[in-house]
Amino acid sequence: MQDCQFENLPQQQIYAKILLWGVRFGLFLFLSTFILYTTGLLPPLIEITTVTEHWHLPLQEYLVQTQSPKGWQWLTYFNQGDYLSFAGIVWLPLLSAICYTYLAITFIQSKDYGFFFIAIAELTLITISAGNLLHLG
Amino acid sequence: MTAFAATPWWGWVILLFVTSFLIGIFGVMAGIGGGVLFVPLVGSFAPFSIDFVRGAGLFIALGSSLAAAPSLLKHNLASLRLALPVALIASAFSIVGAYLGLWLSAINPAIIQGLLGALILLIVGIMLNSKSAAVPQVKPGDRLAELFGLGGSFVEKSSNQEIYWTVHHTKLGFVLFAFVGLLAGMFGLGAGWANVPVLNLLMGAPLKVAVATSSFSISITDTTAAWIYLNKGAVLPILVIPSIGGIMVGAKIGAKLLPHVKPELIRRLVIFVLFVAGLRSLLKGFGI
Repeated sequence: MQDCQFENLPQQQIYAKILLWGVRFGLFLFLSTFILYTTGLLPPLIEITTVTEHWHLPLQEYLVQTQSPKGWQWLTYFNQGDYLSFAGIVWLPLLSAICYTYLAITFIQSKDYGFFFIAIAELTLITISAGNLLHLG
Repeated sequence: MTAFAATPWWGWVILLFVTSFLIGIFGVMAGIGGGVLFVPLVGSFAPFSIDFVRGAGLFIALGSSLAAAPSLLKHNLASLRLALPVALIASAFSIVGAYLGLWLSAINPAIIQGLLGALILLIVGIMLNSKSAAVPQVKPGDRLAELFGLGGSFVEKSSNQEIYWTVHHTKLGFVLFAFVGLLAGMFGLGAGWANVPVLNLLMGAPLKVAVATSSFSISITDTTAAWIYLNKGAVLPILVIPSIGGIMVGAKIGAKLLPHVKPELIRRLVIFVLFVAGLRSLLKGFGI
């Protein structure tokens, strides 16, 4: 046993519950959209055979050859099977953003400014990367 | 290549599911995450571009981390207090790593393939030599640890005792997490192999807390890099979805089998597989 005794953060249990339900919803999204995509019930923008013929190519070449949309353009093809299945994929990194929004609100309410700063900084990083705001490389 | 070309798309979906399923089982039993096995294995032996494999690797690590996190947080094994600062640092550097990895790969994919092989061989070395301490002795008085209250408690089920813990060497730990984040973003790996020794051996977190907090923090660290791979078009649903499905099912079965197997034997088998995959990746990087 250590001499220092710190309490676990009270937000930890709610964070766990948000993740639990979030992951369940994510699995439902994965399964349902993937079935729609691979069975052809919702036709894809890029045929699966076109994907498999080009997936050995370096990324830039693949994007040119298949004329794939980049960034958030996939949202405009939500009615196509392949891009609808991005819903489940995007849901995973969105979950952390939802949890951190909850954390930021509760930290400011409890005047825990150190952790509030960390939550806001993480949300900023997620926004920068999700919003494709850095144009490097 | 002809055998690859002859395989129908649904054959690849099944193959990815089965491979990830096995990775899920053995990954849990060997105490390592799925991403570190998936990327070198699939990147070295399957026909997909290394960019798509790294994109899938990040989402696999993210998916398995998110699936495990609720239970780990609920039982106070993963510490939100400890994860928040280390994940912030690691996720900032995983953005740098993601851009660096995609930039190097755009110059020549062989560079990233070769570097991945070298890193995997390094990880094999770390795994072979790694030690751990169940509850390390920690000197209180670390200023950063006190500032953020980095510590907590959990109930050790074997003795039914409440274990209180804190950490030390926090500044150096934060620096190392920056490096870990960089590698995670660059190669699409979960980073449990590096997180656990830093949290346990350097910072002095109890082994159970280190393993659980590492697993949980990957769900935050890999989020930023995952968005970058997604925005750059390096994520293919046909690759990602069966792989995540396989690893999640496999990890659940692995956890159930865990009490009935000899973990050391499984660990040695996984280290051997990693060594072969790392060597293959390194040779592929040199065009051999």
